[in-house]
Amino acid sequence: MSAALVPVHAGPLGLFAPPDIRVECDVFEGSLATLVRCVLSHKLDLLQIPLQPIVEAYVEYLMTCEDTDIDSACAALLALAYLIERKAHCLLPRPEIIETDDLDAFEGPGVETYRAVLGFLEDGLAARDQVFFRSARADYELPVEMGKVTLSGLARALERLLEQTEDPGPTLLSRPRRSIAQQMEIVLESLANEPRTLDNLIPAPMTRTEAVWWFLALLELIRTHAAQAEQTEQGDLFFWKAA
Amino acid sequence: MESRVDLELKLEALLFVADSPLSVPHLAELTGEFESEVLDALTALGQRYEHGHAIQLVRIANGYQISTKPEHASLIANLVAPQRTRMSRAQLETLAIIAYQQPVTAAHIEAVRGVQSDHCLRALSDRYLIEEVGRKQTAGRPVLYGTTDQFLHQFGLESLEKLPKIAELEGASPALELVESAP
Repeated sequence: MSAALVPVHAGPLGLFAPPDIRVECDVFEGSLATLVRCVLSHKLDLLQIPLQPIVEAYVEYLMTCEDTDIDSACAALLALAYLIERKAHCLLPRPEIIETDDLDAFEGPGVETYRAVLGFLEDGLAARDQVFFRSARADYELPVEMGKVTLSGLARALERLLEQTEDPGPTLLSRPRRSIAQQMEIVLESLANEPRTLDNLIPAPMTRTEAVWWFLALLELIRTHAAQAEQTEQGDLFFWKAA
Repeated sequence: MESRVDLELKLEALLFVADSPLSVPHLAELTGEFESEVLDALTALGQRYEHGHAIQLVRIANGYQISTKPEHASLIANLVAPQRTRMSRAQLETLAIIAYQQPVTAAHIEAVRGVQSDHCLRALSDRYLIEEVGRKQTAGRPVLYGTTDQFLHQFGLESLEKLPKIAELEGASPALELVESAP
């Protein structure tokens, strides 16, 4: 492939046109810019165009051209990147689509009918509350022995933690928050066998939301006996993994 | 073959230490007896607990488990700290749809309720009341949800078949199924 240098001009791609890197194959013959235009307008099957020779021609252009215009070189690189990305996308396996009139056609009772079930479920919960089982996942338990740890001590620890948080700024996209169970796994991994303060436990920087979530997960770990806490005479709180 | 009383004692010992319901096949395997014999012994054990005992034998969550009787609830609450966290109406609604329509996608649930259900699904999953049971073979392969044994246990149900038909909801009794008569 030849890589002749041509004057730069703003072409239909809306940017500096790439240099006239020629593309020749069974299904297409022309410049790189023309190739990109044909792909953009879906006039070509990109899967039929080998991209390796084009990339090699681009590299040759960079190596041999004495007065390489950086804008043109960047335009060529952009065009190549676009073609590679499009071709990679075409090569991805496509999900099998089952044609239906309505993918989630609702059949069955309406929400009002389900509301009639709520009374039954609530009565079931109430009846269940009156009996106690030996259960691995109990909804009741003996109160956790907290020793010298006080509620005010926990509150002060959380206050000090929140003072160190950073303002995350405006949230552009909503991110799904982890569940408390997932956060507990993370906190448990951070806990050591030796006592550590909250400052040493939670990685900085953190937002207020992250700090609160870490704290809640830590409390839950204490409740389920996976972690322990102790408060000193000075009111400092230490946490560690339960044996 | 052991005597019926010996089998009852064995079952009582197993059920006492078990922290979850034990199914008849499991009990039969543990005791080395036929399932029919185990069933008869469980019935006799349940009848024995009817009078003069603070415990009862219940059929729950596809198995059998020993529990305390309701009349001792307030006494036991003095010892333990019951976590009687009430579920919100939205969570109960979502749970009801899953229980009756499972396996079901989040989109289906939202089609029924008319509102987003992500938060409810996460909360129910955190409580181990629902779980992912597969993926629907449509574009996007959305997750299919179903209820768990914990759901049956928490609502005092023996099995999903014991959920009342929606048309029969008036007068349906949610009481725990006691082992007092032959199953």
